[in-house]
Amino acid sequence: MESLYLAWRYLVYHRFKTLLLVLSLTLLFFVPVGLRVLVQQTALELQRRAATTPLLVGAKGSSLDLVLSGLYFEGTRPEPLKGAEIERVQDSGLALAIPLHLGFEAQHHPIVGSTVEYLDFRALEIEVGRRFVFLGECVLGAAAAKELGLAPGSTLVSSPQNLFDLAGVYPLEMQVVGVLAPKGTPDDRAIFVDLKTAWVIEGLGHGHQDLSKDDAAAGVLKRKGSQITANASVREFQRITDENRDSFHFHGDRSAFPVTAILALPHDAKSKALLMGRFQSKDETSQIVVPSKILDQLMGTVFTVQDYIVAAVVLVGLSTLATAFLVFLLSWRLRRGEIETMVRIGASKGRIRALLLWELAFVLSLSVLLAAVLLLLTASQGGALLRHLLLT
Amino acid sequence: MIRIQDLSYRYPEGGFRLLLPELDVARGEAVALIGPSGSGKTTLLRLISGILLPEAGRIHVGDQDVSSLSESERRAFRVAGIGLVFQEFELVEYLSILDNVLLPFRLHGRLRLRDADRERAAGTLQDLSLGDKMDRRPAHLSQGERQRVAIARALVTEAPLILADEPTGNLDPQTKGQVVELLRTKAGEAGATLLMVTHDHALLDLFGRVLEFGEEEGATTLVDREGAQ
Repeated sequence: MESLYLAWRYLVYHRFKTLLLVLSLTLLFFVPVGLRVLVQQTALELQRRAATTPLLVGAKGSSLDLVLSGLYFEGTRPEPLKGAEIERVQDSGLALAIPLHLGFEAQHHPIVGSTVEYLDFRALEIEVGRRFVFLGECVLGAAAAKELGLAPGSTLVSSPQNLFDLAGVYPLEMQVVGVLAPKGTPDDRAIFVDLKTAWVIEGLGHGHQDLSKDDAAAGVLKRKGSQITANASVREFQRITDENRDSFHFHGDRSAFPVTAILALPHDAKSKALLMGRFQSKDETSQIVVPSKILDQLMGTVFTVQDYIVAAVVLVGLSTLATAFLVFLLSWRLRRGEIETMVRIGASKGRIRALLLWELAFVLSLSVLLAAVLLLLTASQGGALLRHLLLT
Repeated sequence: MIRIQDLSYRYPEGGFRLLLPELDVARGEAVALIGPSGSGKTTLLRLISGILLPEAGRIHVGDQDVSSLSESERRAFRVAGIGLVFQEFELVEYLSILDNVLLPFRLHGRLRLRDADRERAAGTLQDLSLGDKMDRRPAHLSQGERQRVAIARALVTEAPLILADEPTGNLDPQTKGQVVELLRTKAGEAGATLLMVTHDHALLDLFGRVLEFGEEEGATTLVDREGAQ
């Protein structure tokens, strides 16, 4: 134990040198293992969600962007589909169609416009409050509610797409009616609204003063029978309430309104094959993909890159190890005088060896311990981080 | 205390040879070893402490025949039986003053460090006017203070023999006298025998006996003369 004490005193006295050595060795131990854990965990997490999503329909273009947006609400937003595609899938009788409208955010949380079938499909349970029913209502994922500090009864304003575009989309104040139970998936960070609410946020639908009433007379530019033309002074509603909900309406052909993707849930394997076949024609403007296959391709690339990185890290690690060993050797050489004094006072070679080995053991143990802590942190937090890095 | 008979030692690199037909030092004696550099003073201390082994002859310290002991036995003998003081102090920079004094206990399993040893070490440092600096590192002490720490380390095991190799070599004239006086007094109080190598003739008055080393035809000559005391 006395050697242990002397070794400890030495390391404490040379604390900065010790710290540098410990940090170098910690990285050496942590990086290759941590990287593998991180990538494998992320791959598992990504693939798990992809495996439970049979088919995804979107506009022709990058199938990876479509999958990353449709499944994880992150990445580059793909070109929109026409709303008519929802009926196309639904009316085929081969699958249930769940639309997804993405692209808007509220305080850095994605707003997902869909239907309540989405909540059923992902088995998202309401922990507090209720599901969205009316226009302007939203349900928060568990993490979103926690981070934003919101609960049913609160309101939440959608973020404008471009702060400096005065002609752009106006923010909509949404009513929070429910909070989902945590699932450990991207749904936790999302804000769910009805598809029509998403269209209102996009500016395709709006509500304003009733122009037939007297108090709106100043806003009337021209009346021709039942047709009223309004001027710019008409007040548009930024919040949907019980009182003004009926005034909200959409202009234009709804079948042309955009959706980002459609989750297609075929009734069986045959339906799946048939549905996929219907999107194979040359002139087709939409694509249908199997998300797990797209993810497999992505992860194949990630694993290859990972192997190269690990190989490089191992090489650097070996060099670090050799340098650390050299530092110890040189340090022992520099301490020859001290060691000789100890021997003259009566220390055996074994005692001197024990002293030096304890120093080495301390540094190695501390490095391994720190690497283990980092590994635990990686295992618990790193997946979300890498997924975020991969998808954005 | 020390009895040397027909001692012969030749340096591995050849040349000089240390020859001592006979030397006796009584228990409690304070002996100064003087002589030109390379005349064998330090070598004699190393032979007595078992760091070097003689080519021939016997060295008895107390009841022990040092020259017949194995390496580990000589180490144990050195830890328990000899207090060493070096010219360069040889303190361990990363240990506190108190830990430096307790170093012999930490380096050899034969000496179990007990509370009584800690108290004795602290008491010795107190006696040497270092009581308020026990937690400091050697780098924060003056040369004289460092040598006092080295003396405390030599005394703490209550060894019956103190070997000091030019302990005043790095000290200023005023501190030299104080350190030797201290060493002599403390060794005397403990009833220990003191052998000290020095080049400083001004210090010889403090010793009861002086052994003067010389060289003649490649071998040592030793003149034994009484000191001032």
